[in-house]
Amino acid sequence: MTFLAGIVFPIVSILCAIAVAVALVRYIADVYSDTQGRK
Amino acid sequence: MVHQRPALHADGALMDTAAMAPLDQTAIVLYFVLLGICGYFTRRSQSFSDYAVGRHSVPATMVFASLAAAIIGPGFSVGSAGKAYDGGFLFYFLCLSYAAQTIAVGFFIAPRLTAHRDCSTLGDIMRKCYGRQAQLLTGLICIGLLVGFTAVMGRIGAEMLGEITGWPLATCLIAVTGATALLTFTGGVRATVATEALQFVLFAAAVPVMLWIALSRGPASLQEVSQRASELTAQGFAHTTALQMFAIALSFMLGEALQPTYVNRALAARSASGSRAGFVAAGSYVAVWLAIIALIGIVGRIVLPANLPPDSVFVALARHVLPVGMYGLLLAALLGIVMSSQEATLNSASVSLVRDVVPKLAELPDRVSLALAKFATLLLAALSILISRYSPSIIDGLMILYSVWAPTILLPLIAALYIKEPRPLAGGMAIVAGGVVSLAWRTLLHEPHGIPAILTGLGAAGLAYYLGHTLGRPVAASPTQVPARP
Repeated sequence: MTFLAGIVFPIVSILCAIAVAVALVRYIADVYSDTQGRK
Repeated sequence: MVHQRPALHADGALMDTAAMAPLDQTAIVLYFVLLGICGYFTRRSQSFSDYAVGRHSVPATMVFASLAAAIIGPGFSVGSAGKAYDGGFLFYFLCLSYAAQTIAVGFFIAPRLTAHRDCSTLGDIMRKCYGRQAQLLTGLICIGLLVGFTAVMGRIGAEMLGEITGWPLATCLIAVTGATALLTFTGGVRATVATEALQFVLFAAAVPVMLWIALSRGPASLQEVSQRASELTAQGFAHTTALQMFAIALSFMLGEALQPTYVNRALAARSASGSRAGFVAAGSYVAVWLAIIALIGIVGRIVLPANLPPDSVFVALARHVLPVGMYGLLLAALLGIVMSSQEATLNSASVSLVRDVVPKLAELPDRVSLALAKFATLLLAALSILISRYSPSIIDGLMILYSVWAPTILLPLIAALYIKEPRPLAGGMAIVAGGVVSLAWRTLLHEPHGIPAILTGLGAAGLAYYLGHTLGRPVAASPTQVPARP
């Protein structure tokens, strides 16, 4: 359990953070262009 | 240049102004600038649907990030690290019920919620299935829970800001909740989702790094940490009865299940499959996150002084191991996650007030409904500031609301999603019976034999629902229906 929590899970968490960061940039661009388009 | 931190305080007050190096303070300022930029590009709500459910356009990844950010907030980070400091992985194993619940909601409930495209709130769904009275009751319970939660989070955030800046509590309360209210006022659910995702990115990356640094700098090898974890976990099991463990696991499983802000994420999702994926991923991530936090608590037990107050372990370890700058960033992320939780609750509460409690307001032209929802946001924020400033028993009040949430709302809501012709009588009876029995069991009888109020409340709600369903008529025959906004 300690190995999972100390080595494997932190890697999983950091990979999730990277994936969300990429998706967030796309999301912000989508929302911004959407609101600009509806102005 | 290396900044030297002051020694740890014996009382666990570790975030005082003197402890903040200039680089930490710069990191905090930079973080909020980044948050402001993120907010600037997403804060334009042009309709009530925009404000309430983001026009049902939130993608699966953002549903996941938003849910995960809401779950891994101060309670599950600061609180769980303290529990692991005392009881090793025991609390982690019990909290897995929460992860299981979120995954189950993802598979069986969230897609069905998302299918209600004409609904903006949980109360809207209850009205469709059980009529206007059920919507009003749901709205009132939701608002009570959400305002209480906003007040508690405001208090936590204000205390953190006070320790960073040295400002008095009242000023910090107004600064934290006021700033959040203004952000919510100008934005909507899509802006909230974006800021929550930003908090998630920072927290999900910084905390594992903090654990690695603690492990590498600490005096013990991974094998020794593992040995200590086993000892602490065994002690935890020895000092907790089976009934206590059952009650904790049950409370985690049902206490927050399908809360208004989570239902709001399902309603805002772009598609049923996206909603399912978001909830399942968030539940799986919670299992990963809680293990990391538990190990942080265990490492804290090895690295930090003995007998620290449990709630200060997380911040104490961060301050002890993180380099200057990163510590400030982590504190800012912690404060940011408090604020984004408040954003979500204020948004849900204001929409619920307009849609569920005073539905005549929702029938007004769209622009007027939007303006009223925004005004309600400011009103509810002011109310929550007053509660958190002047009510000493705010946590007790919130705990009571948590204990009635599952018995009153959970069962009728799940039944509404699965039963073809739900009866208004069943919904009303279940809400009232679940609430009354749960409250009486908790406040009058003080949970005899350790049986949790949530369990007796759910039993009563189930029985009342069965009776109401047997005796009542379907909703189509009910004259109290209010047409839903398309």
